[in-house]
Amino acid sequence: MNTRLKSLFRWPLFFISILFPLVGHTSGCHGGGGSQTLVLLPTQYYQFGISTSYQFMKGSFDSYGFYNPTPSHSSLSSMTMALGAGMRFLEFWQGAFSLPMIHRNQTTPQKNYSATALGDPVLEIRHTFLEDVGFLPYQPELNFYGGVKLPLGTSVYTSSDPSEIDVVGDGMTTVHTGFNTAKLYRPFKFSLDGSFFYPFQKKVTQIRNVSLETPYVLKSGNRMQLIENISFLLNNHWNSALGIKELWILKSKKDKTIVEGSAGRLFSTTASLSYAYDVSWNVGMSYETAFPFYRYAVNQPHSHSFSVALNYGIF
Amino acid sequence: MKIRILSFILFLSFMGCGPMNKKPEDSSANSPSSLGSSGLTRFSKDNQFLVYVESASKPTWGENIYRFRFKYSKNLAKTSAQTITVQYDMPTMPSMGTSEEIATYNPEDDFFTTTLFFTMSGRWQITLKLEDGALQDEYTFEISF
Repeated sequence: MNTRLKSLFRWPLFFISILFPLVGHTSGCHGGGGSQTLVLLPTQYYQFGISTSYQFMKGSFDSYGFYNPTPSHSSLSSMTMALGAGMRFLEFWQGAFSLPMIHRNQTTPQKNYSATALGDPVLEIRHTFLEDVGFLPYQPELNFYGGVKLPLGTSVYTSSDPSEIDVVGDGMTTVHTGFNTAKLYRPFKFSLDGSFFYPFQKKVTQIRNVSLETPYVLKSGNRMQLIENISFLLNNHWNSALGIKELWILKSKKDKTIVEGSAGRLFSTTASLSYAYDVSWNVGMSYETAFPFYRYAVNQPHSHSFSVALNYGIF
Repeated sequence: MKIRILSFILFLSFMGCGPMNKKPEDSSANSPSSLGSSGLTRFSKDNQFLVYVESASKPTWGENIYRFRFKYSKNLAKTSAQTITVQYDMPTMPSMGTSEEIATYNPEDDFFTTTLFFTMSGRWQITLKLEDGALQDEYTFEISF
């Protein structure tokens, strides 16, 4: 790597512009792609991070986009603390994992339910194909990544709670692949992240730990996600960003038969602010909402998400 | 080349904003939007039984108490060998799975009772598996809130 590039990466500004992946870790219902794990800087060998997000559900959009508000005297919220770590094992190759700990709380007209459990861990490998170098104005940074989400968290199939409040995982292995491209034109940075998720089919033999009389094979819908982001570098320490996320969920199949009405869609906007204390320590916060894209939401909850994240990197 | 890529992304975004799910043509069949506290009497799927369903209140998040009773449709008789198994799910969210409860018979008021837990708002499909001796049938209805 040339010396000019190395000196560029020592700028805290550049560092914080890449902070957002962990900040946005759990801000959506399905999250994912480049937002699921930490991303290391080109000269960074290790990175550790912790993020906490709070999601408050206001209601849900049904299969046809009609909105059902949360019933009176009811509420549903979740708080997720995600631990993440990343390691560079070759100059242009890195690996990362994240492990979420999720606390859910639901209030119904009868009583309150709450539970805390480990969610599904995510492993990811990332390859830097192109680097964003200042003297090539039209060459963006380009990364390709792939990973897997392991169904280790409690799912609807293994839950022992009738209220399903302890359900924190999908219950099925999901692999994903995608790309991330970004270009810095100071003080702006433009980025685009695209990912595809493929949940493996699962033979459902039990629900809530109770065996089914007639097991079935479920293939959840594949998902596609795009995230467009514009960062504005305020000064050497502060960075702000606005982003739009589009998520499409294709129809599920039950015993190889398409389940009508199971497709979903969620468009959301994200606003972020982060502060770099130095090249190693960073803190950031973000807010995500479906506003102003309510009319496009299908089969998705309507929620507000707040996240804070703390990252430490070793060069 | 760049314009082509940009156009392709814009095209995808535009196409991705259209309708997602087709509404079933007969979505109102057997679909009282809300039973409320009033009851509902219907024939079972193969007309074997006459089924009566009522709930204590309008459906909401959490526990919802339902009461059922059924009789032979041809002579309105019944035996003491009746059982009702209740399966319920959200048809458009198959990953949530289908829950199953066995309704409890209360001889004092001659009703089967069960508590269904609705974890979220939306359309729920409830299927009663009815058995009376050798006869079996089922009755499906939907609620939405």
